[in-house]
Amino acid sequence: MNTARSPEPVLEIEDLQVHYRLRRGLLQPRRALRAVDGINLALQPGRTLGLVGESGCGKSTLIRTVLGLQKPTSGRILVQGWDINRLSPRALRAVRPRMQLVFQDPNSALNPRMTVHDIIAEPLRLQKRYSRARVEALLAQVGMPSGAGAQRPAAFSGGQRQRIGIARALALEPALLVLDEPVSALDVSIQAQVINLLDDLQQRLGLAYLFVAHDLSVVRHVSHDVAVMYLGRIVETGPRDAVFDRPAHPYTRSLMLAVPQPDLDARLEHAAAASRELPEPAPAATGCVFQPRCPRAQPRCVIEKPLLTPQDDSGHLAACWFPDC
Amino acid sequence: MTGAEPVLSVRDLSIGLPGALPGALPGPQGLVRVIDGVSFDVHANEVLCIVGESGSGKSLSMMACMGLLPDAAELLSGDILFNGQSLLAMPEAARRRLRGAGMAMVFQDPMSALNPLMRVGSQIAETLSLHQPGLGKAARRERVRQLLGLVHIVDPATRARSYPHELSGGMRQRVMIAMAMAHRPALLIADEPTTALDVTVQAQILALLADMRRETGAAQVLITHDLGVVAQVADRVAVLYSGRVVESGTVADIFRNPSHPYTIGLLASLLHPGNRRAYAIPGQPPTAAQRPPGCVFQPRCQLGEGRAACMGTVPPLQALSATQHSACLYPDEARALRTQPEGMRS
Repeated sequence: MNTARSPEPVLEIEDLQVHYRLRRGLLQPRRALRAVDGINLALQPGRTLGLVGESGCGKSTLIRTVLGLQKPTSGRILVQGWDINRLSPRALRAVRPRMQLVFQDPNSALNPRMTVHDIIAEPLRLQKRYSRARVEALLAQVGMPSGAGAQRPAAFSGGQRQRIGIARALALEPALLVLDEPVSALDVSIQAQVINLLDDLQQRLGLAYLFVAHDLSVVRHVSHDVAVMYLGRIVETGPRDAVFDRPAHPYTRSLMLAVPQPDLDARLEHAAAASRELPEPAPAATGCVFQPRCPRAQPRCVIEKPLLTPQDDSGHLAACWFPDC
Repeated sequence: MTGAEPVLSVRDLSIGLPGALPGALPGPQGLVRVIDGVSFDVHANEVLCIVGESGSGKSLSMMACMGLLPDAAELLSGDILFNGQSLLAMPEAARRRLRGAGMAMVFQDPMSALNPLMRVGSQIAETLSLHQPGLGKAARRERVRQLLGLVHIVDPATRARSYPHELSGGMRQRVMIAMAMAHRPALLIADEPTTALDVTVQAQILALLADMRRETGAAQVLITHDLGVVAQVADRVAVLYSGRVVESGTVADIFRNPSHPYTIGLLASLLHPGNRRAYAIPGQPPTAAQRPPGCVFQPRCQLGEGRAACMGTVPPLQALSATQHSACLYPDEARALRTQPEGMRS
């Protein structure tokens, strides 16, 4: 899969660090929370990178930083080669339209008082690129009925509202869509429609997707490559099939085991996996981030921090001293 | 478990809400029948999963069982029996005694179900004092500790003094379950109890609910939209679509031999590694105010297209076996859909 690497990635994240300063109490010293702690990722045009992780792992901080809504503590974010944190405000305005966000909950992401036409026209008007025909073409592109533009979001179902959100994100012809849990608020029978639409759009427009989701079956379906994030770090990454078929990091494995499979034959296995309780995540002072919860932690894991190392020659990397394939 | 009297029996329940939706066609008295003739039973030691899309009436029917319907809602027909007694005929005082002691509910979002200004221990103690007013203060504190221990909360004495915001999502849901278990109810209703939680925590909460059932033999109703959860925990399943039960049966009936086109479509839309295209049921579910005549699923159904019988009358739930019921007029054709070539595999 990785042989088709084109020379210029749409998005490159280089050794990104984002720390927040916390103060627990008035007299206690400030402490840094390493929300993103040394992340490297690259995304090519026409490809989907699935980002998986539980709440608190730093996914949202990573997204905010990629979109330029949060300043990194160190490291670089390159969008089509432009370092978004080194650009003049004027140059940034030119680069920003190339990356767009699709939100999780289309109900709160669309202004209920605006017509669908005005919602999609808004980014075009801001960039002085508005035309009625362009808005209509965008609506048709996401499979909305003609005449939908005159109505307000309330007239549409959740799946259709998500289509409107996607049309708005496509208005300025972005190269990168950041999709933050784009189908998790939708019903099962509607999820598939939106997933197929995203697939069509990627084929047609060559978009790159950074697809953030907690539903592993969705991530497995849509992604070319997958990155598993845990407490601010990528603990495993690689081509989709390598990561899902041969998970090397114990955290990836416990995530996969925890997902209830729609398969009656897996009932006993699932119950067994659930009974092996993972303790609550707590950052380790030294060594591996996952070590306090790891069932197979060794003395070395407490002392030395494991780096992402190749598991084979497919680009499958895992940060574990004792990976198993 | 057949033969024994069900703990909860819902019979032909219909509930109306005022038709405030734009373009609604209000029914009698301006009410929209959000729930339209729903029936199901739950027995002791059994998990019934109620599956359906948002707006299918899953939560509202459970609120009716708990006696927690919003004021605007109106019972249009049917009855709800708890251990053989009609809940609807019961005076409110008796129902209040039953709520918490005989039946309890766990909600989707523990953060909004817990009082943010009260320590969690005091909230559990409040439940105890409502139904066991004789319990002394020290005994109550001890019982709170026991209950928190029961749901595997580490260091219950300290945790009892925490406020909800100091706990993780999983711990809050454990507190909710501890509260629900305080009086060992015969019926526990859990409305999407793990939807707001991470997968690893979800697995723990599902295991905890199974522990609670083994411990007390209670009947459990689990509302969920996640077919993975259903496959892992259900004994029996009721599939709701637009306010009606379209299919019910054992978990094996539903997963191995589904006999309603909607159930089949739901199973087919599960994502499988290897399928490049996801199967999508065409169209959108109708709103309760704009149900099509006849079978509610007919406009989206491959079998129903153009068939007068499907558009004519509401198909009743018919027994296909001792355990399985389907509200499809053509269950044999529905089963044949599963083997059709156009990507509709599961």
